[in-house]
Amino acid sequence: MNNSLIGFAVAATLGVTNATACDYCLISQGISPLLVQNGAGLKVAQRYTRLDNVYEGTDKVDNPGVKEEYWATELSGFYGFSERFLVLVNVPLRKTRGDGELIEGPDGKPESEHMTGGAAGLGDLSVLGRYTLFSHHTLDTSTLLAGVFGLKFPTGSTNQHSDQGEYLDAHLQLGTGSTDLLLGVSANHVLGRYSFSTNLLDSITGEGETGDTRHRFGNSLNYDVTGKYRVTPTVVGKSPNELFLSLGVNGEYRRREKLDGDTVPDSGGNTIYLTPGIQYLAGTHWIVETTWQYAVYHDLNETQLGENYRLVASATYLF
Amino acid sequence: MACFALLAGLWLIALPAFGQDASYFESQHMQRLDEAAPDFLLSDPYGSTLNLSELRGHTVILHFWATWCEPCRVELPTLEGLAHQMAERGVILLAVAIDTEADAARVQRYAHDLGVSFPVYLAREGAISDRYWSWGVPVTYLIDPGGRLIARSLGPRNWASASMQTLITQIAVPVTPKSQESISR
Repeated sequence: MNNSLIGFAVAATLGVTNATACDYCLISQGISPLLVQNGAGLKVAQRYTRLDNVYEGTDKVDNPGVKEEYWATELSGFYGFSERFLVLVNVPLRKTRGDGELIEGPDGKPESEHMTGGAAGLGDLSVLGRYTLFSHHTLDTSTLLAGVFGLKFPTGSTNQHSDQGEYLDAHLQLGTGSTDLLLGVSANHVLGRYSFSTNLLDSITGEGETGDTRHRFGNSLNYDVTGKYRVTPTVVGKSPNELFLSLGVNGEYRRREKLDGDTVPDSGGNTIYLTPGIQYLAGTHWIVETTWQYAVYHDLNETQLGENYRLVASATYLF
Repeated sequence: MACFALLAGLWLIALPAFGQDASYFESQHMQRLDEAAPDFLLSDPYGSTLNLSELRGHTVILHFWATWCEPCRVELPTLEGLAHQMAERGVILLAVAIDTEADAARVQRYAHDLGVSFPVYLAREGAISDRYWSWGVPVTYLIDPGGRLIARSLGPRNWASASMQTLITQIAVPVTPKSQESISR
């Protein structure tokens, strides 16, 4: 395929979504991000992401019948080597499903091109380290500021085909095909029954092979501010079980992607979610929680399929 | 020689300060605190009462636990050996159960069945702020002879380990021993 054909393909294909293979996003968003945990534990999280709204910038426009769905089962293990240094490994198992592909019609309006298919299997494994840069504790409060660094490895397949025999869009593949550098900061403050956490995680992407093209997802910034309140017990004393409610604002800003070196105009942007959640500490070992990340704001470049919501449920075992 | 003696003297002066440095406690998976410990009143099953302010001059290990807390069940006996060894250094162990339903006799029996011989107190029979255990249990505080909180340990640990004995030895200031018996009866 020569450059002019690639350019045409880029210009004609609007179906680039903002839901990329960001399997590690979960660890920087939510009511108990693993980045603020200590000790050692295992976590299993199930996430469902649905995209069936089309956006031009911040405006929602008619969807010609395109839909994408993502399921991810994430297995995470973390171990605190000291009070300051913790390592986390995240192994995602993904399933993707696409129905239709967003293209630009003759009148410039988005249309759906027939495409069905998806993939299932191992996603991109990531390894992160957290180092506490600052900590301050009092009888009533605990404040931590930590730096985060890591790598995401291209362990997920990137040559899956649609039902029609074509290579799936890069977003529907199981991995990105690239090794990405992850850098972030994490802050957490606990005050009695209240706790507040904020996380920033920057992903500096590399280039990967997707099907028969070179694809580079845009660098992304995941951000999260979450408050949590212990509903019960009001005073610890009767049992080890505790119930928390949380509310967070989080999102993802992503730069434009590149396909065979050319920038994809219909890619990248910003999506903000409002995230209520509920968390239950069962005994001293188990944490179960669920969050609903409802997309409240989209600012997507050109015309794209945008996320509606993410449903996340997880169980953590603390050793 | 004089120079060596001077350096050695400085080292000895600096040792206690170094021993209570934040990084030192972090290396033991503890949180460094530095504030006055809120005073409290504890009452044992025999009717004796005890104020924190009475313990000035002693290093105090203030441990909170509960009968429903499974990790506490494993941790509590590890305090037994430490309590005996450290008593001669003037270190006092106060084990306080935060149970809201079990009575003092049941708590005492529960601890006894675990092989614990030091006295255990029931928080609700005294006057002690729940701020101490709002982090959940087990939680343990180290209080210096001046009545200041200097460290907090969240979660269970093996207090009988050599590292814990070293830590307590380093922060303990030698004073006239005040045995567990004399403070409780």
